[in-house]
Amino acid sequence: MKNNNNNFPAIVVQRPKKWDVPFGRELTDEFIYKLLSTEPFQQILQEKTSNESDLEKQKKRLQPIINIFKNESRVIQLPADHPLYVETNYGNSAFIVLKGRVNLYRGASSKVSAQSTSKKGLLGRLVSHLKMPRMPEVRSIEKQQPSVTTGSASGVSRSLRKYLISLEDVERTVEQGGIAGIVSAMRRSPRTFTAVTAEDCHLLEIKWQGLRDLMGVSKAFKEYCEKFYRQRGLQTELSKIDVLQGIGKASLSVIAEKAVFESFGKRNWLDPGSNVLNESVNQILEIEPTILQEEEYASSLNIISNGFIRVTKKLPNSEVTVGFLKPGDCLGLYELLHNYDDAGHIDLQHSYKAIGCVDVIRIPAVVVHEYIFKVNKEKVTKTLDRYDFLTNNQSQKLSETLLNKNAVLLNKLINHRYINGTKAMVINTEACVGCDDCVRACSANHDNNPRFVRQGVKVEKLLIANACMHCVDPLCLIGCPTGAIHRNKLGGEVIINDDVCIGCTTCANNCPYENIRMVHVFDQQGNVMLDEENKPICKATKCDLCYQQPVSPACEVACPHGALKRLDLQNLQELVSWGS
Amino acid sequence: MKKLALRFFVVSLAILILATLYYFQDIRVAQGVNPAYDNGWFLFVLLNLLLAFNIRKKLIFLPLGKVKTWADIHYFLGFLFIGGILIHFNFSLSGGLFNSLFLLLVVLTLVTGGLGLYWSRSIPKRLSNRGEYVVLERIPYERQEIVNTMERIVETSLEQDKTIEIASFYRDRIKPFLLDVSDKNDHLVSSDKPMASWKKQFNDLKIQLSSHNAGILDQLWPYVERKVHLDYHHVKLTLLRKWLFIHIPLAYLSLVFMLLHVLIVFSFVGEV
Repeated sequence: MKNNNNNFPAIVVQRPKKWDVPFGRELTDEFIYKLLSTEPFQQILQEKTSNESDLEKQKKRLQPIINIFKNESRVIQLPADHPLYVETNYGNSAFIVLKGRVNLYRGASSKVSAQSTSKKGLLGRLVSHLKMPRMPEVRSIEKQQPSVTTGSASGVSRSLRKYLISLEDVERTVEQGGIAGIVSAMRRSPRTFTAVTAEDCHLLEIKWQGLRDLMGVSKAFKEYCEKFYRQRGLQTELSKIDVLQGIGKASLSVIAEKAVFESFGKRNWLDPGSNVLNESVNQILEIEPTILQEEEYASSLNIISNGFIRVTKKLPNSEVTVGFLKPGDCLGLYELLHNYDDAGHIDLQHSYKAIGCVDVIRIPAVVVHEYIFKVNKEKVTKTLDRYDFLTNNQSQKLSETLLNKNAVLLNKLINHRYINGTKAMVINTEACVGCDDCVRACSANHDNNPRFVRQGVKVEKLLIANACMHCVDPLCLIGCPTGAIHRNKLGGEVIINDDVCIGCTTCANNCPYENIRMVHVFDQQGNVMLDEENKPICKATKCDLCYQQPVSPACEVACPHGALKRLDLQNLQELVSWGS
Repeated sequence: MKKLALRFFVVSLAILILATLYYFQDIRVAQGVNPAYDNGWFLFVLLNLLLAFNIRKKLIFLPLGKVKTWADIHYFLGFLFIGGILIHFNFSLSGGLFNSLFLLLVVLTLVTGGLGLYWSRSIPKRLSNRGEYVVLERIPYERQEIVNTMERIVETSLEQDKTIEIASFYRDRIKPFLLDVSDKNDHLVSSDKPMASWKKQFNDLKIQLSSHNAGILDQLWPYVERKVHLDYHHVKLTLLRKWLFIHIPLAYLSLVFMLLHVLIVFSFVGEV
């Protein structure tokens, strides 16, 4: 222990670094070279060897890739009928079959809720409550030292395992050399299949950060992954879209083949230069890239794969926002259907603008007519109800929206991109007495330090507080070098693995809503932890929705006036009715 | 509509319970038993349940339902307690100094509770209509920010125009007002006097100033307005927190007195 210049007690520990905690038992160079000579990694080896004459040079250039494999992947051995992952669980890694086969099933999602969660028991919670140090943000020194993660693919209970092995209709089989779970790992989205080992298997599990890094260093591997996504992922994604359900596998594969994948807007839409949240509404509308323009010919059906879209309507002197669309929603459906019905031609009735970054799957009108409307028209007509603000009686709806007091709320939510939040902390300021019970409850569950700040953006009487909103598309996850910030497999909450966090601040800087805070950490005696250069050790902290606590979220449960609620901000109706 | 129906049900239930308690007395009298024992124990249980609310708030990790539900039950039990105590004391003050003291404590607890409930429901709405939502602990920082900004404006005005009217006004009137919470009593009763007084002072000064200085004064006004709002929030938020520091100790003291009351009663009838 030492006293630093500021005379507060401090203790020097080793600063945590990336890959201090490897994913599993370290792989040997020999094993990795062998791996690189097999599918799907042989492209990496081929790509790197093409211009390299001597072996030493090649080794040097392959070193970063070897490091990725050593730290971001692990080999797991599983017996037959062992579940690998479950449909609807969030995917943080992909599995490459080194030996054996893996079967993919669909339809196990209803059983997922029956899985045991990682919540602490009442007794466990009571013990940790009694043991909790008085100082905030106390960490064990031992935890700061590197340790090896062990274990195998988990996340499924025994009862569910029994159920899974009773599944019969295999959707697909992943053979030796194939990859399972890559799409959801790349997109950090829920699994679309349930994977169960068909026989004794050797699998290489790679974290999504490893995949990202591999794609960053190898163009060939990136192309391979994108091709794979196009062949498999796109088809799976399309099959989940309601207007495409029930059209048959053959039609679906034709649609996937003809579809064009397009991206709009900047990935880092909140980089320091953009300053988009401080712009006026008109300026924001100008900044946002237009995907489809009002009064243009509706030449395609556009399905949102990722991100949000603002729907606007031209008025004589301005352009107003009438709503927003989210992943899975369609653009141009109403117009295409209207034109298909020979009820007279109409052009696009609205403009569609990318809020932040949007990925769109574009299906040409002829393909839509031939493969969707011809076989599925009734179902498509029914789905139009979802887009009531875009349909026939739009002028009436529009005036309602404009006159409606909720228009202010809608605009604020869209302009500040709050529609990204699925569990935003909303405080009714007309009911909040400022008793701080929510803060105390949060603090009691999280190292004596609350994970939110009771201030934020106020929209009329509702305050959207600075607490993690558990976004649909969490930007904070993207840059994390260690994978410390990730989605909980079961509930999809965005959480931080404190042991792996190196305090690099990437997630805190990436969060557009300033909902992640860096904190200094202390040992049991209250000494601040410093590194060898006398700089404090930091950790990223944020709301985890009390996912491990028996009572969650504590802030909402603790409010004696019902003034605080965690709400999905895409559900405007729920927000308005709760606030009224 | 649903809320109204629920309220009607709750009030009906409370009346039903109290009516049962009241008419049960006659039955007990007919049986030759003093009914005060029954409703006394009823009150004892009620008081403990009322106190349990505070404990539940501290043990948030226990899966015992939302605190809001507990709060609603707490209010309901509080109203029951009022009725129960009236029945127990037979709608009259009797029984000497100890009982009078005990009753006074209970009444004070109930009054502070009732006031707290009223304030909790009415004050947030008023706060929402006056200035921005602010956390009590942040008010000193906000105040400091106002001081810094206003001083910058005044300094700039001095550099641009060598007249000292604005600077004097700031130094003599505004600065002392900015340094601490002002007009506490006025804010306590939600009076508009502080704002009106500042408005008058600004208007009175404005007519004496050059157009340039009047412009500077206009720049200062929003900050004074913000400070008046901050003072209002400070007073009201403090009130919303402090009433519990009276209500809870009074409630525990009531429990102590109730236990003593039980001891005394049973000592006199020879059961202890």
